[in-house]
Amino acid sequence: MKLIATLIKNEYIKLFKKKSVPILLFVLLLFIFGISLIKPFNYGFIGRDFYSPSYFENEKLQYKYNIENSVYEYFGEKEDISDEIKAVIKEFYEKQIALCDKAIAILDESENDWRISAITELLNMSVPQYLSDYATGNGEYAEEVNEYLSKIGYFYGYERYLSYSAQFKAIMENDYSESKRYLYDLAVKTSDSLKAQLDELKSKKENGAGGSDIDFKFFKVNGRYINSERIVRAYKAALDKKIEYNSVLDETLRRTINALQSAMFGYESILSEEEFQKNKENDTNNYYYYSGYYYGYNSNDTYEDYLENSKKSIENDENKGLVGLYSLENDVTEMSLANSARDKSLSFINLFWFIAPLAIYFASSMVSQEFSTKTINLLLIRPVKRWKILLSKYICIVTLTLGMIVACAAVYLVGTGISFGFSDFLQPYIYIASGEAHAASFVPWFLWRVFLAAVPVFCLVNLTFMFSTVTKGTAVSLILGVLSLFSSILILFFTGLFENPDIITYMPFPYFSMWSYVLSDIIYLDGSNGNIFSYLINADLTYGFILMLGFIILSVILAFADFTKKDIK
Amino acid sequence: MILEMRNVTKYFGKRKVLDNVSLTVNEGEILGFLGPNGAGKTTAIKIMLGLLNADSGEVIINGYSIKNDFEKALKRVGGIIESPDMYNYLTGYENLMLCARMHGLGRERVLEVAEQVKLAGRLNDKVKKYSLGMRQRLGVAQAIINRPNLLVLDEPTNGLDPVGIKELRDMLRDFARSGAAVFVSSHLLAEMELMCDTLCIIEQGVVIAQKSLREFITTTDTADRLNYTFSVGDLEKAVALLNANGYEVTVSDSLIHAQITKEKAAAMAKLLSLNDVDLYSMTAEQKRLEDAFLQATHGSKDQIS
Repeated sequence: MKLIATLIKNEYIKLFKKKSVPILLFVLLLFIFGISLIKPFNYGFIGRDFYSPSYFENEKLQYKYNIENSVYEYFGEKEDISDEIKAVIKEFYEKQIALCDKAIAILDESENDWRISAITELLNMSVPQYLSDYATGNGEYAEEVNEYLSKIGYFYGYERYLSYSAQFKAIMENDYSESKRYLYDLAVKTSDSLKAQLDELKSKKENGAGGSDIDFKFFKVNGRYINSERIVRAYKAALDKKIEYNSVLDETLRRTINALQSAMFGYESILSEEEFQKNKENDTNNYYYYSGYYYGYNSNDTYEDYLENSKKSIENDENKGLVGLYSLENDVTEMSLANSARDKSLSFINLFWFIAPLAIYFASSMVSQEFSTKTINLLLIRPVKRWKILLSKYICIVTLTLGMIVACAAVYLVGTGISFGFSDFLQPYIYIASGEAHAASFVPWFLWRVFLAAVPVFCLVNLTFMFSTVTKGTAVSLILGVLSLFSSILILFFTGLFENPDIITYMPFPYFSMWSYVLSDIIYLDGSNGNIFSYLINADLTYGFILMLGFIILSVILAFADFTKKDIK
Repeated sequence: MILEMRNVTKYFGKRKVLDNVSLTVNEGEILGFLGPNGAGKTTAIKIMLGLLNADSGEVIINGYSIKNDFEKALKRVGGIIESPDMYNYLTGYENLMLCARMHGLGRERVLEVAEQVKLAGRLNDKVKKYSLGMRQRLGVAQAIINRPNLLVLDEPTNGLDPVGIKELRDMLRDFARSGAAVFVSSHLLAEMELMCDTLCIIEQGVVIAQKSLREFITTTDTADRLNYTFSVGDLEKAVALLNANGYEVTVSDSLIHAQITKEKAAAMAKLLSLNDVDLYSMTAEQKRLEDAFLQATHGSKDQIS
């Protein structure tokens, strides 16, 4: 054991006394540290609307004119407008003028304020809309107003959920969170109505009525109902937390709602087999795009394919929604939206494209160089068995690779912490398991992914070490090692070559860059996960892991068999 | 006996490189392994040190088989094979430390051997800056670092200047005097003649002869008789005296020649002295090593210098 340790020490001395080795390692670490410090440019979240103060000045003039000239009649002059109604309408005009003043004052300070668009929304309200809102809010003259509205035949205003007075108050008090309350109310209403539909279907089902497709209908309504409930929860969490405009939480809410609504839409538009066949007979290619995903089918699909694809799309949206909901309800910053240290640290995985070639380079000369410099003679005429010599070299390159990866990961995490704040690492990683969102500690989870990503590096190092031992040629081993690494991008050329893409999934070469796939199960609210390769195959990490392990074992056996048995000519 | 090679045969592919090679090296002996290029010298050495596997036969060093007891067999062996290649980007000291560590030795021993091979002053220079002679000395240093009792050197005088060769020779002599054995391969006859006690001649993978240097260069007939030449003061008296005592002698160039055993030669000398004949010299004829070698190798002189 002591001898092996001494031999390993010798190998390290031989390696690190070569100038190129420490220089390359230093450059790698510097490069990785530099990359870790780069902060992506934050574009902000919501596109701004541009309103100039003159717009509000003009609006103000209009209302002033209305007051000064007693313009109350909106539906012709035949209506006899009572003084109470006139008072309510005048109050509306005054409020609109106050809103215009507010908008002008706000624009004087900042162009990017949520209240500008909220004010514009209220300014677009018509008198009857305001009146109906007034009546719903049980204002002083509610009775008269209702009477008047029915007289002029205005009813649809009742369907509005945007309460003028509540929104007016929120604007004046600059309470962004409160300004979302009407959306919450709307969500509750939607959810209630879906619940009613669901109950109806349930009872129909129990009574055996409703036809053969009742289960399918139930599936559709149930899906929508579940997601509408989630929307209610999302708004509730946002209101409880008093979310701020343009905050990460605000953006989380927006994306969560988008995803959940998209899922609801998915359930709504999914076709029954009968509808599907009918469409197919009409030879309709029914592709449509919504919220980033394709729903539908093409004419070659069977109904099962279509159903599976549609469910997959819905699940995708639902998962996003669940992640968003979890972060809203549990005070977790969703990592992709926040420009977080967590999100940034994940991109370390891609740097294996730089670490792997360097490790291959070091491994390629490990044994062969002793032959090219003929120092092998010096080494093997010592009273030390050959397997011990090779083992020391093997341990040297494997621990060097390990050290390289650990050092790179540490440097990257430190750099990321410096530029994004270390405290973010304490926030969890949110994942979905069996339709539920869960949280795990980020750092252990991240390190596990780094380990998985590192497996192919060790495999490549083992292969190259074996090539170096068997061929006794440094250049040959380097080329073979690098070719093995880059064989992983062959999928780019092979994709589309096979009728069944699973063939590529179970070929060995994609797994030589297994790091391309270790992040593909992450659910991001913003953008996409994984990289270009992960879209081409459904990488099976367990399979990849076993495969890489197999290569490692095979390489070790070959290298040791060759080195201990063969003549040193 | 420190080293014994027993009936070693080695093939490279179908080519027989060594054919039933047997040789021995004893304590205190310097054995010269002499043969033309391509005779199988390096192959034999590599088998001896376990770098190549023999197809048949075995090598025993210090009582241990190289095949079955590799570590024990090589424990007290030092060697230079082909050329003393070291790690050029390391200093002499670092190179020696690499070797020392493999024997469980340290800095002290490294400095000691560096002193011994006269490299102490340049120990911290990178080996790539060394002259060929210094590299050769560094090679010797690494070979003796573990205080071996068998030193195996493949063409050790390559690249050494005459002073270096002399130093090496003296070192090997000292080494042998301390009871160790030295196995030196070379194709330099003159070198071998000065350096070795015993010669082993190999040609085309076959050991032709292993004899002491003296045995090689003295010429005896089947009855152990040598050609003696006597130079005397009174030629006629001497010839008459010798003939009278039954010695068959011939005379040419004023010298007396006789083919006799060494005992008879001594008796002749005694006879002449007792009878007041001045004996100026008495020499036994010796072959030049080159001739002996040519005779042994059937004349492949062109590859030997």
